[in-house]
Amino acid sequence: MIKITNLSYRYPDGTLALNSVNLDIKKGEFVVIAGKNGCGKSTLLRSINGLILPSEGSVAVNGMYTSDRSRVMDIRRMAGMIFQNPESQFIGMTVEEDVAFGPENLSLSTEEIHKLVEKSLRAVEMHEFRDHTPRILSGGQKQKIALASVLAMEPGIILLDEVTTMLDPDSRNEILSLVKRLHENGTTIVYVTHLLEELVHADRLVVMEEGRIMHDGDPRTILSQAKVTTFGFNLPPIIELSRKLRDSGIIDRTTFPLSKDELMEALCQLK
Amino acid sequence: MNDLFFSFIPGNSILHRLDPRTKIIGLMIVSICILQISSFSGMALVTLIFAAFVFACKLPLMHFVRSVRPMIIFFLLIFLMQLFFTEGTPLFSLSLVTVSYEGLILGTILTLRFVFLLIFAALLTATTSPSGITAGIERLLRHFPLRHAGISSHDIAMMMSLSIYFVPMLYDNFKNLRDAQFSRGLDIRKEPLKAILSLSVPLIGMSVRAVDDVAMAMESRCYQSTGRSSMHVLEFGRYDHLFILLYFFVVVLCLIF
Amino acid sequence: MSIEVKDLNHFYNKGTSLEKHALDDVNFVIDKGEFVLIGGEVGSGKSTLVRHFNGLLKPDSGSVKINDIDAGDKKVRSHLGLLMQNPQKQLFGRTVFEDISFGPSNFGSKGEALKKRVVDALDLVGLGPEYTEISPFSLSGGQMRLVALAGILAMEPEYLVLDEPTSGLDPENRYSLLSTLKGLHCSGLSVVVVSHQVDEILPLADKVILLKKGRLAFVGTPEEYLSSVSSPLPEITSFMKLLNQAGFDVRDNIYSVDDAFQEIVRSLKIVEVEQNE
Repeated sequence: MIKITNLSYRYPDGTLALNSVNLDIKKGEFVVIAGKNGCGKSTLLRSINGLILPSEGSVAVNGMYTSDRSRVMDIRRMAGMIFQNPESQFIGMTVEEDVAFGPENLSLSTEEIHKLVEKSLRAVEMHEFRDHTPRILSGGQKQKIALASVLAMEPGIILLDEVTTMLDPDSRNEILSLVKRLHENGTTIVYVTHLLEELVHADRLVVMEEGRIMHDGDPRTILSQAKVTTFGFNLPPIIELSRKLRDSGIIDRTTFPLSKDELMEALCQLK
Repeated sequence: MNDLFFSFIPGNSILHRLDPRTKIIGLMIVSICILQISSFSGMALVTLIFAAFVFACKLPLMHFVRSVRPMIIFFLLIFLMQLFFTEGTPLFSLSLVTVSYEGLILGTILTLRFVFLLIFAALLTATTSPSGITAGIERLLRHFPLRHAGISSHDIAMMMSLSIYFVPMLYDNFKNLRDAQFSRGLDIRKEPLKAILSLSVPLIGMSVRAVDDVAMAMESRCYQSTGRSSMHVLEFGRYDHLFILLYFFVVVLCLIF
Repeated sequence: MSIEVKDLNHFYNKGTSLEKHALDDVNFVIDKGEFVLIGGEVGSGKSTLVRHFNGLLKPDSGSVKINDIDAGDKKVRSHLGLLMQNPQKQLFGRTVFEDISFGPSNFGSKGEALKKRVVDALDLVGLGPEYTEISPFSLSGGQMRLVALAGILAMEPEYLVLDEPTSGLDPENRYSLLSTLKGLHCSGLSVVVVSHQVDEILPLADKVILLKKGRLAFVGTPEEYLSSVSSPLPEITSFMKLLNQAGFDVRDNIYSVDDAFQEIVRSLKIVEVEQNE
């Protein structure tokens, strides 16, 4: 569904942000792209949406190349994107107007727009806020609206760029479970984060460093095999506990629990 | 507190139900009239019209007082300028300046004009949702040949609605920034130049980033300035026709006074 | 020598339909030399509270005193340094020196003494004197935050108050900022951190203050906090509580991975013994 071939990207000042990246994402996958700040993960995500054009190599979404400017609207409709800062991606003066912004650009009829707005706001459980101004919403609520705005364009792929970085833990979990639900309904998810806690629902982990892909595969395999220092930081506490219990042979080495629930299940089996 | 001034107050009065276009045209006509009027009898008429509207929209008078309050110093300045610097029949004089009868009249009329311009604008914003206002302006602008100048009415409406969202946000940013620099011992009165530098540099940085971010968000959501549709449908109703008719009377009345 | 908050009340938009009782009869004392975590959800009043510490906000009733001086007194601002959220966005100087010297020079520091303060402050956050002459805008996000912190430290405050200091940082920068704070506390500075990240701050704290909807919900030691408060808890603590509910016999007032590992090993052995019998 997304095919990235030999992608390199240079900033106007000459620094190399992406260095021959190859990535093939299939329909329905949930891919987490992790790495330190400045490793190129956001740049990679922006190239999928056609916001950044390759310096070398190519990016294709559903067979459409981002370098083909005539298809770029179709690509953006197919692959909706949500950004990090909840404050500066709100377009419009009320919640429903923000959600309607995409469909309006697609020149849909007023009736269709209303239907899509209604459906998307219900999907993120923010329907009661439709007439509100964004100023009174919390960061977490704004990110839910951002998600609804993308859903209103009925995309097959959703690209999320560190969307929980500025949120408190409760809002973060809410966004994560919404994303999980979308994935279960068949949407392809590409999720950029520096928080490995958010890995739980992913079926694929891509770790980036200095513009290159260092690891690409099953999250549990990567976490159990790679040296911790490769990630450049400590593992989240629950994952570290799992790893310790696994390494000392207390829980089964064929599993790697990544969340509290999974670890609990593994421990209960021992009882 | 700034949330309250010039804000929209949802309701279901006649004024709320009017088409935004009717109200925008109305505000323009009333504003022109106010700027034309230079007699107290004219001002009395304007007061009457305003009172009728406030009665019709059932909003507390306090809301309009709030809209004027932040500008009080400005009004006072205008008033005093006219009072002291208009030549004419002297009323009395204070050591250096002389207060003239003409100055008193001119000062009062001028101040009243500004007050009325503000509260009529507040009447529009209180009874029309911001989106209604921009949709209304966008529709009205369609009748002007903007396209030849390379701008679409959508671009203008978009700019308006973005600024309505961004201006308060930048104001919040500014307040935070000011607090941060206060915490570092900044004293605006003692060193105004230093204050300007330490506040404006980060504020400009924040604004540029915010604009960049929102431009990217718009682009990724397929923004195009032509060929957009809209979720708002504007339709003239019975009352709209009535009001348009009323405008003629107001204009005629203003011409008489 | 303390921060003393007494019967503090604060309202937003008082007398209007949007009135909000942001702080409701808050009382506590922070002693000099303590490391304090002020926790609470978004909108619980944490940021409103710390803005009273140096007089940015005035109490509607009650009082805040720093070393027995009213917090509204401008003198307080050199004793108590407040680092606000996203401080990297508040930088303005052409050079790091210009930025860090802003605070101390506002309080009258000049010449060699000022230079020394700037270099010392940079040293405290782990940056060398070679940083003084470069533009703060050429630094990485994490380094910019350290420079902003140095800007507060250069005022040589007795109390350092930080509002969500780690938010938006990646784990590596988070870790280095936390160890900087730990070092500052060890050198005798009182540190007050406002954060919803209980996980990372709790292990450093002597005292925890929890706000809920503008009211004081808890004041006490981290140990008391772990056993008496139900949320927010560190990940490990809430996992241990879950284990307890599932019938494991583990201590649940712990937060470190090592302690949790020991407890799980211990409890599993007991279970195994019981099964053998």
